[in-house]
Parts: sequence; C-alpha cells; structure tokens
Amino acid sequence: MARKLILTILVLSFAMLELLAVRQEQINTVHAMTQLHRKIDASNEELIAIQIQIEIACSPSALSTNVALAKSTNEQQ
Amino acid sequence: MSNSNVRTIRVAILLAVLVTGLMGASIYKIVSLKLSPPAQLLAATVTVNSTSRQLAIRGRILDRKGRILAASRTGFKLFIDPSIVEDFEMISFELGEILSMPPAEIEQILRMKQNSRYVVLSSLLSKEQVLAINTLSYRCLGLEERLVREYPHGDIGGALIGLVGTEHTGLAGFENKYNNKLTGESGKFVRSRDSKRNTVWISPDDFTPKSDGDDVQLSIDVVIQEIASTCLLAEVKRCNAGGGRIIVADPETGEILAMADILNPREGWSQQPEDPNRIIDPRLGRNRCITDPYEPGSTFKPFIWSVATELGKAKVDEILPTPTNGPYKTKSNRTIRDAYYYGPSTWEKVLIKSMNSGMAIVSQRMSYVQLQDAVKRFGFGQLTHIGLGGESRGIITSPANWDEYTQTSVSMGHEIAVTPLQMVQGFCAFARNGTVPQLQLKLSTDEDVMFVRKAITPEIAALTRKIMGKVMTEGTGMRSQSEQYKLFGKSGTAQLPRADGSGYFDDRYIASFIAGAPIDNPKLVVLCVIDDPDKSIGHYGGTVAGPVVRDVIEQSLNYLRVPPSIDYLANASR
Repeated sequence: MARKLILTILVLSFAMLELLAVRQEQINTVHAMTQLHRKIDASNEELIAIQIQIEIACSPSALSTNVALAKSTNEQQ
Repeated sequence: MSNSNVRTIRVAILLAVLVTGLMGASIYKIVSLKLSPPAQLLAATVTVNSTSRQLAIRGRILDRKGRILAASRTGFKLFIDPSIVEDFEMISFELGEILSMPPAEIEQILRMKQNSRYVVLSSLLSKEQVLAINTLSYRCLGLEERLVREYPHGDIGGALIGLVGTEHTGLAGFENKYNNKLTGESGKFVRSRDSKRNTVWISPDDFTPKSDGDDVQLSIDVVIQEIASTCLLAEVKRCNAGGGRIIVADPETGEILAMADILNPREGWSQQPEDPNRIIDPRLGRNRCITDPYEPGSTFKPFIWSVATELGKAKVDEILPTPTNGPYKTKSNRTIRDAYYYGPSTWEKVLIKSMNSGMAIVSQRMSYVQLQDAVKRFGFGQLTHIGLGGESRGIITSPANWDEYTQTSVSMGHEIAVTPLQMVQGFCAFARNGTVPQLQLKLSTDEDVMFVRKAITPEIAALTRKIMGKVMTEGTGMRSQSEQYKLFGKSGTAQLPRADGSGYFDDRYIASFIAGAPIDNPKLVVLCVIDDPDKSIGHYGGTVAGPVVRDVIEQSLNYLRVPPSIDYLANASR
C-alpha cells in the first residue's frame, strides 16, 4: 500500500515535470518558428529589393544608355 | 508488521506531507499574489497587450515576360512620442545628423507638438538611416513598417500601370483596376509585453497570418513599350507636335504589347491637347488611346473599301469615273477633293492612292444601312471592353441624322471619330481571317476562350491586306516602307477640328498611320497618331506617323526574332 503511494507520488511528480518540460519545449519551438518566419520575411524583403535593383539595372533604357556609353568609351580608346 | 514496512510508511507519509505542504504553499502564494499583490511587484509586472499588424505585401505587376513593372517592398518611417522626450536639444541634434535635417527644425516640431504621442519625423528612411536609428536608445523613438511601391522602369508605361496612394491602394491604371487582386490581407498578432515593453509572449491563438496579394501579369512587353515610347517621343519632338499616341498589338491573340500617349505642350499654340491630371502626376493622366477619339481620315478607308468589295458594290479592277482635273461633284453637288487627280482609276487604285473621289463614288452605291453596318462590323461606335476606365465609344452620326453628306464623309474617314484602340481592334481583322479579336491588356493563357466577331470574309481580308501592301510600295505609304519586312498599311491626314465646333483649322492636322507586318503572316499591328504636327516640318500621315510605325515594327519584329523577308535576306547575302 505504502509503496504504491510512493510510486503514485513519484509518477505524478515525474509526469508534472514532463508536462512542464513539454510546455517549455512548445514555447521554445514557437519562438524558433517565429525567428524563422522573421528570417524568411527578411530574406523575402531582401529578395524583392534585389529583384527591383536588377530590374532597374536591366531596364531597356538603362541597357541602351550603358551600351551607348560603352560604345563611346571604345571609340575614344 | 515488520520494521522495514513501518519505516517505509513513515517515509511515504513524510513525503506526502512534504509535497502537499509545498503545493499548498505554492497555491497560497499564487492566490495571495493574485488577490493582493504588493505595490512594488504590481508596478514592475504590469503586462501590456498590444496588437501588431503584419503588413501584407501588395502583388507585383509583371509584363508578359515576367519583368517587374511594379513591386512593393517594406520600408520604415520614423515616429516620436514627444510627451516622453527628456532632452529636446540632445535628441534633435542626434536625429538631425541622421535625417540630414536642421536640429532646430526638429526641436521646433517636437516643442510644438509636445503633448502629442505620435509625430512622424520621416515618412521613409533609407537603409543606413534605419541602422543609425537602431543604435539610438531613446524610448520615445519608434520605427513603423510601411509599404513602398517601386516602379523599376520609371515612366515606361506609367499611365497604363498607374500608381498607388499613401494607403497603398491603387489610384489609377492597372493599380486601380486590379486593386482587389493585388491587395493582400494584413495579419495581426497580440504581444504580451512586460513593464519594459519587451515582448514576453505571443499567443498562437491570437495570431492571424498575413496573406500577400496576387501578382498580375500584363500583355505589355517592356522592350516593345520602350521602343514605341522612344520612337513616338522622338517624332513628336521632331515635328513639334502637340502630342502623340501609339498602340502595338498582336493580331493573333488581341493582346496589347505596348501603348503610349505623349503630350508636348508648346508655347504660343492655341487649342492644344491637355490633361491637368498629368501635372499632378504623369501616372494619373488619362490614357488618350482609350479616352480621346479622333477623326481617322484616310486610315478609315480600308474598312469601307473591304465591305463595299464584299457587298459587290465595286470590283477590284473596275474603272471608276474619278476626275482627271479638279474636284469630283457628288449627286448632291458636294465637292470632293483629292490630293492628286489621276483620272479614271480602278477600285484598287482608289485605296492605293487614297482617292477621296473613288470612295465617294462607291459609297453612293451603298445604302445608308449598309455603310452604317460596315462601321459597326469592325467595332466602331462600341466599347472594346478592354477593362480600363474612361473608355470612349467614339462619335458616329446617328441613323436619324445620317444623310448623303455623312455617307460620303464617313467613307473617307471624316464625320466620324474613333479611339486609337478601336482602330487597332478593327484593323486586326485584316491581319487575321476577317474576324475582330477581343483586345486585352492581361496576358492570356491557353485556357482562355478567345472571343472574336466576324467582320468580313477571310478572302476579302486577304485581298484588302494585299492591296494595303501595295499602298506601301506604290501609294501613300512609300516613305514608310520597311527594307526588312513587307508591311501593309494606310496613312491618314485629317484636319484638326476646332474645339468650339466651328469647323476645322485650315492648316492644322492629325496625322496617323496604321500598319501590320509581315504581310504573309502578320505578327504585329501598329497605329501611330501624331496630334497637330507643325505644318512647316510635315503633316502627312505617311511622312510624319508612317516612319514611326515602320521603325517600331522593324525593331519589335527584330526583338521578337521574326525573320526578315526573303527579298531582304537575299539582298543582304549578296
């Protein structure tokens, strides 16, 4: 009877500790997820910024200006 | 009971008492803290919930090849809470350096709005400024995320694409038309903060994820748009015109590849095309290719010519009594003038040489209803339903007011006003099998059902195209003929109507040219309208607008890798 009581107390205590650990793990996971999402968002933002820069640099008007500049430089040389 | 059993029971009871005591103490502490927390603790542990918005990124507007025409990125604006500023001078000095603003100005703003909780100091910070602000440790400063709309190609197709307002909603052009599709749904989450405003918890239950807006892909091709805009601008400047409009379309699919509208205000000229909205922002301007009808002049002749031929009102080789010297007189004694008098000419020559007299003669053989039907067949007087706001139906004389004067005028492209878009749509019938396609500005997919309307038979379409090929080699389009590709087209020169309705200017014109290429398998249809060119420089459609159409066709077909004509290749290989 007594042994069963001790065992029950120990098992319950262990279970509570495990529950606490699981909850803490959940918090950590949510935190890690949030960090990851923020990184993804930041990367996406950077990607968009780079895409826009590429688009500006490769626009027909920019290309024709650069080609004309390169031609005139070559002619001068 | 043995000694060991007794000991075990005692240990168990002790443990049970200990655990129960600890739990009881914990519960007591929790209850007491909840019911009557100490003032010091209360001050330190106040939890503040704040709802944060997660900005949804507005969708991109792409051209037909996936190039970005408009895209949103996140930026930051700087705000300050002046009510908790401790040292106005110090913060103004530090912010002045970062924002490149006079510190005195910042201090004045802060002192004036001392009781405000939210004052925006900069609506958009650069990357460097954001980094610099982050190094400051003022509690009163805050960075707020905002969306910034970027247009990487500048003003190319600006009026078509439109723009967004401060709330990032579309105000004009495609930004406005596809606003619902482009706009996403912002997310939100609730932060639990401690007394130092640090986030301690974000509950997953209070989190609504954002949903970014969808992209919209247009039929516009940036390269062709650039070609069209550049060629048009150069010609408008060269002939000191009041403005110019150009449309490039793919007749096969009805997709618009480029559309540009330029205004060129000139000093000392009366009645110039104007648009007050463009002064506010060029992207807010109306798109005159859609909104402003014009008198097409001789570019309208192929439409009437083809229907008259289909109805059997004249045969291609039939010789008509066109005048040798001086104007032609109609049955009602109306005088019809030609640019040159060729004497009796074939119906074919009437179109090639753009003879008003020949058109008047055959139009008199048609009934009013037949001519009105000819106009309707190609979609004139009706909306193209392209989807942009402010579209005009054009101006067509009502059947009740239609008389013989109208009958002869319309056959020459007078007493009728059409939009450039309607002209392109109608002209596509000659580049196809006689059907008029539904024009579109959004990229079509294979699954899209194409709506067409029959205007003329395939045989008549091919015949008219062939004769318009001769316009380029023997007629009014000679100066606009391309060396590389065989074009078919028609020029038009109409007098500029007076705005007050008192007739036409004697020496001011609207020059236009419409053409398609290559003649055997048309890939492009291009219309150019030059508004009110300086007559001393040039005013005929064939000499002013024609070369623009030729250049745009040549450059665009080269870009689309359409091989030049066999004749050109043979000459080039010699």
